[in-house]
Amino acid sequence: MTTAISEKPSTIAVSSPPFPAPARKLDRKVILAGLDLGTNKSCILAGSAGSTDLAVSKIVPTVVGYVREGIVDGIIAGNATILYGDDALKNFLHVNLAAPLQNGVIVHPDAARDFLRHIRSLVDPGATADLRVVVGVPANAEEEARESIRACAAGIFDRLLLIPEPFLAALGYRDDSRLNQPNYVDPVTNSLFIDIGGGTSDLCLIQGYFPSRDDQICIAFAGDAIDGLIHDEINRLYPGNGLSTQTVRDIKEAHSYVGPIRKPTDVKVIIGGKSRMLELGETIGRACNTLVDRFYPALTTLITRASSDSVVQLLQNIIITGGGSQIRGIDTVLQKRLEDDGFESPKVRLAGQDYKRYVALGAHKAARAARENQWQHVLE
Amino acid sequence: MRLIPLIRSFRDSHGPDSLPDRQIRDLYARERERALDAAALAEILAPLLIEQLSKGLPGALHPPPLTSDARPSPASPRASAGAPEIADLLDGMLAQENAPAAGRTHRRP
Repeated sequence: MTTAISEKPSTIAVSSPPFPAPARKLDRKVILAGLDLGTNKSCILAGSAGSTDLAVSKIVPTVVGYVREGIVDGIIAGNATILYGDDALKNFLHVNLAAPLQNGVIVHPDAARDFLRHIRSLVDPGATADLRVVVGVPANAEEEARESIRACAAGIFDRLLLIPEPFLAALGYRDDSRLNQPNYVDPVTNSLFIDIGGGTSDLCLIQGYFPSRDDQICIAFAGDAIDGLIHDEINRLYPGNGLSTQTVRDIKEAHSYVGPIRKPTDVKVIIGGKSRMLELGETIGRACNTLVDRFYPALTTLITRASSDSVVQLLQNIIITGGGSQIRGIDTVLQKRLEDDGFESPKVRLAGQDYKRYVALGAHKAARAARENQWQHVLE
Repeated sequence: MRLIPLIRSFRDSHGPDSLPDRQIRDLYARERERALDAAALAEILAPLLIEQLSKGLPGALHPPPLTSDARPSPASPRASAGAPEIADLLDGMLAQENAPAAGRTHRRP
């Protein structure tokens, strides 16, 4: 879901799920986790401290479904009162869906806390472990947004670290097995990451030290905004189509591209129970091209901030990750635009098929590497 | 390795059994021992020689003391630079978070 249902689930009789309080034994097992808390999809990777295995690796739609009153017993598995992720989406007819985040920021704290409890239950079903989580946040997230995450995590995670997502993407993308190879360029030493998610597009200059605020730019225009543009145009071209936001997102994911307009692009949809073909080539192309237009100035701004000694190599290491990396042609279009603007031999590449996991992977690496005194306690 | 062509030439002139491999191996072992003995002796004598030379030559320079681990500096300083440690990067992040707001924007070295 791209936006939360406008009504808060305050009229629904939600019985708080019986989440047991974490045990307070001194010798609790420590679980280290990396969490990419995305606007639309979250990814959690976790494993025990001292083990290199990833015991948990899941992608969960960031949505909570509060079961409506009056649903007949047995309709919802286990007669649950709250559903999460795919279960919530599958039962959309029987629940009030709530999206905890919008544009990368928590807008529904209650739903966010329920979602984080669910994340905890995936990682530590018995709620006995000392759970330490590195959570990705948008580049240059305001203190208020960071505090929201801390407040929602209080009493759920035992320790917390908030780290900007594009930096985590670089850590996750880094191939640790190749660090000693002479020709391997460590993305953490000199690269520019563009993480295009659902709510935000985050750009980050990473040059061997932790990026400062000047090295990061967050654009509140990303996948959801593209969906909005496409949806508005479809409604204009085909009034009364009744297509849902999810359907429009599916159309975008199947047909997205940037560059010259491709027509015709015929998309089959069901309207009023009947199959129809909509020509959406220009609609989709314009919406996706808008994304590039929106973040391109931020990209060139960061390039110009790099030192003259490092910028040539930096231009060879521009990496696009996140869901937006799946837009067809985004790497070649961006590279050509940089070339046309006179930048020296730019090379833009895509992070690859693991784009969904890089932020969480980087977060998990950070969790494993963090020293004891770097973890922050989260007090209720 | 000019020794190998010389050995080959000697054997060509005096026959293949004139210089057996075992003899060459013994030769290598003796030379290796001599080199090690010479290095050990140099470590002991060199400071004494330097001291004597500095007394005997007015205005003589005092060279830096020899140490057993003296080695030339790397050809490129970046050759010995390792990948940034994640924990150190996190220290940088926490330092930024704890810095006063006015000083938080700049960091570039």
